[in-house]
Amino acid sequence: MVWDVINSRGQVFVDEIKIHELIQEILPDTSWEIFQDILLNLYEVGLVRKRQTHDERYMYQARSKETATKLQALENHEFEIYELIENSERKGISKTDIQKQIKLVQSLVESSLKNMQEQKLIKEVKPKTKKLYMLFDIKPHDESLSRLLYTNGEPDTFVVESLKSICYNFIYRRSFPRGMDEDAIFYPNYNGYVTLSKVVQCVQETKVTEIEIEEADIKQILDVLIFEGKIIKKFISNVDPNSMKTDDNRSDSQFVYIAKRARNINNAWTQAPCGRCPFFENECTENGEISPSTCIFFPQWLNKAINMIQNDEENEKGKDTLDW
Amino acid sequence: MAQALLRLCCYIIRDDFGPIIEEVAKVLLQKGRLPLVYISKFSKKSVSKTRECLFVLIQHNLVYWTETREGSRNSIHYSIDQNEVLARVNFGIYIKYANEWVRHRGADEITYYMLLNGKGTFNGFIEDRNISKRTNKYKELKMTFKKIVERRYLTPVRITDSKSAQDKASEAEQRELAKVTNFIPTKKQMAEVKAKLAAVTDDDSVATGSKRKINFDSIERPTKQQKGDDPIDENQYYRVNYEKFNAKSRNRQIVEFVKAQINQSASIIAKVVLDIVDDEKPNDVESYAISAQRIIRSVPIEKTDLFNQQMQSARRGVTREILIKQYLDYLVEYDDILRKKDENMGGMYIIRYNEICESLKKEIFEDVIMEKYGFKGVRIVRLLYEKSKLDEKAIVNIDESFRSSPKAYRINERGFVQIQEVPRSADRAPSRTFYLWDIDYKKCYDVLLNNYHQTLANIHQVRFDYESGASKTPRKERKRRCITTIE
Repeated sequence: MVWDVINSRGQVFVDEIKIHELIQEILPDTSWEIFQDILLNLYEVGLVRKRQTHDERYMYQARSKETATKLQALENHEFEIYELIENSERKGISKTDIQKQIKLVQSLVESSLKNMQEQKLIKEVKPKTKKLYMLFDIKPHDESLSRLLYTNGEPDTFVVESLKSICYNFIYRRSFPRGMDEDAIFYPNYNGYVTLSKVVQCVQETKVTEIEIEEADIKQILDVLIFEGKIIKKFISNVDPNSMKTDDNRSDSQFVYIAKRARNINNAWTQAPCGRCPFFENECTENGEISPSTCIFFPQWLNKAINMIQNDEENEKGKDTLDW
Repeated sequence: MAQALLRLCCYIIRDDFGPIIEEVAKVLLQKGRLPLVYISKFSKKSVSKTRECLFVLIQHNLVYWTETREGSRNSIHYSIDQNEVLARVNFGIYIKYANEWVRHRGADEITYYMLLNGKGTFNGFIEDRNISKRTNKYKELKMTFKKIVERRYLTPVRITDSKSAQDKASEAEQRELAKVTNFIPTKKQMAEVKAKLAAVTDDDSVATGSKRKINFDSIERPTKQQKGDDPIDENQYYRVNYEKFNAKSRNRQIVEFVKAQINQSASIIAKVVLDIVDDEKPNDVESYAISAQRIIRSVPIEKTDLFNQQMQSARRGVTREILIKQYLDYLVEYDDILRKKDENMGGMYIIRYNEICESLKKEIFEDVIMEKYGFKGVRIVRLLYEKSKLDEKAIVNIDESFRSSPKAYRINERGFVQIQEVPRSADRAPSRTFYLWDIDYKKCYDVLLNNYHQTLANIHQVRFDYESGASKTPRKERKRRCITTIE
């Protein structure tokens, strides 16, 4: 029954105090010692994973019953190796790392790995020509590349660009109030800004691609937009004093994304010919072969400015003649 | 670096004063502090001509002179101040906005006269314009002049102003040393004297913590002045206070920045706040605290509609006070444009000039990178700024486009981005070293400033070429040369 409770929390690690509280709801008067005994039993049988927090408390996660039966058939040292591989989760762990941590003879380690592979507990993956071991049923981290954004190891620019524009437009629409002046803004401490999960939801709804869209991918896209200066990331903490819930209420304090207004770049230097000249830094000198006196860009720039001023004057003169 | 600056200063002086004075100024800029004889020797002009040139430059606050005792004789040394020369570039802005900043008519005429003549008196200004003392215009201008002086746009010229800051410091040091010893001072005595002078320094542009030094010459509280109080001396020489005008120009840029980043209403409020702290010394790190109520009183009432339209409030029907407070809080949240000090009197706000100036510089720099290298360049620059030193692998992990376009960051290397080598083996073999990319924004600003100086100097050169009757090589010849160089 305890195992059922832990299993019901899903694939997360649960604090032992929390589990105890939940058990108390179902079976009151379960003392702490009995509870610890049960947990210990479960651990020995292999039905739960154990992890220690920095506060010297333990957290537990359930394992499936099939895995547990297979684990019971393993030797002690094989069990330890299995735990190491399990803790590496999606990253995988190499043979050398296992050996460093286990301190067993190499042949023993190899034979245990082979044994577990035959039993379909672990598998071997080879990202970047390096052998790594990970659990059988976990998707490998896929060389830290996402299936959505990469094809054949290269970033798929078309997908990336279209996702960027979808995300940016969505965030832009939600960053400024509608139905008001085009330059309107929200009041300070407004909490309706867009969060990561909302962006993911929006992208999923557009059904732009059939590949499964993961939060990590969208987070990467949003990071790129932040580095381009189009959006900013803010931490908003809305602590509600009325709610005393402590479980999974992270939606109250989290990061939101706010778009920045698009503005015209009006830099004076890049408007002058020197700002765009390929010879400006090294080749152009005061009296050299390439110099401001011999520059071909300056006359073009100056003529353009003169024409603009003359057109403006003519327009003004034209206005005067029309008036009367 | 210094070369571009020197070239620009020479062109500025040639533009304003002509080629003869330019020669004399060039000698001073290149060689530093010199007596008259050497200046005339290096500039290859007669002593009397050099003297006349120096006189003009002194009149326009460009050259400092000081009389020092060398053995049994007194000699006069002259030195030029580069910053004063560069300040002349901004004169157009000062004249254009003088009326708006002083908020009195006629301020631009007075400013123009003062800038044209370097130093001037009020009487001189009146005579120059041929204004009769009995007209209304005279009274108006006198009032304007009074306001300008009160708000420190013009400062009176003192006799000690002819000495440069360096000369004053060395004189003070000599005086202190004379008290201690008659002979050559020891290292310890020098150190003591220097420490004493540093503690006593009159330099009030340095802010000491959060309290400012009280300088009894310039208490700026807007006290009620009675009529006829403190008349302006009409024969006192005044000069334009560049620092004050630069501060106003900076405030204008801040308002433009706020307008572009947020909206017009926020920029109006920022302008009001900046106008209230107008009396501050220009180089303070942060302004004094202003209460929200004072800000609310000073905001023009006719703008309330605009404020309403441009901010969606939490609930409907907010009052004017709450609306303005919302804007103030928004400015606090957004990048710390304002900062809230405490909650007295409805909230006291301060402006941190240093931080806003940093944001302005950053925006200009990132705009330049965007125009020259595109979005990829901006990404790399911002990434390196936020995450500090990174090697190629780490950059690729964050910004994948790196891998397929190494050109983007190679071009960036032109002085903006630095590489730090971290060798893994003792022999520093390239295959076994980490190469970390890093960016230092301050260095980038210096590179950019140098580019600006060079560009301005180039524009001046082109202009002088046109004025002197165009360059000697014909157009086709110029084009051919450029093309062969490209090939």
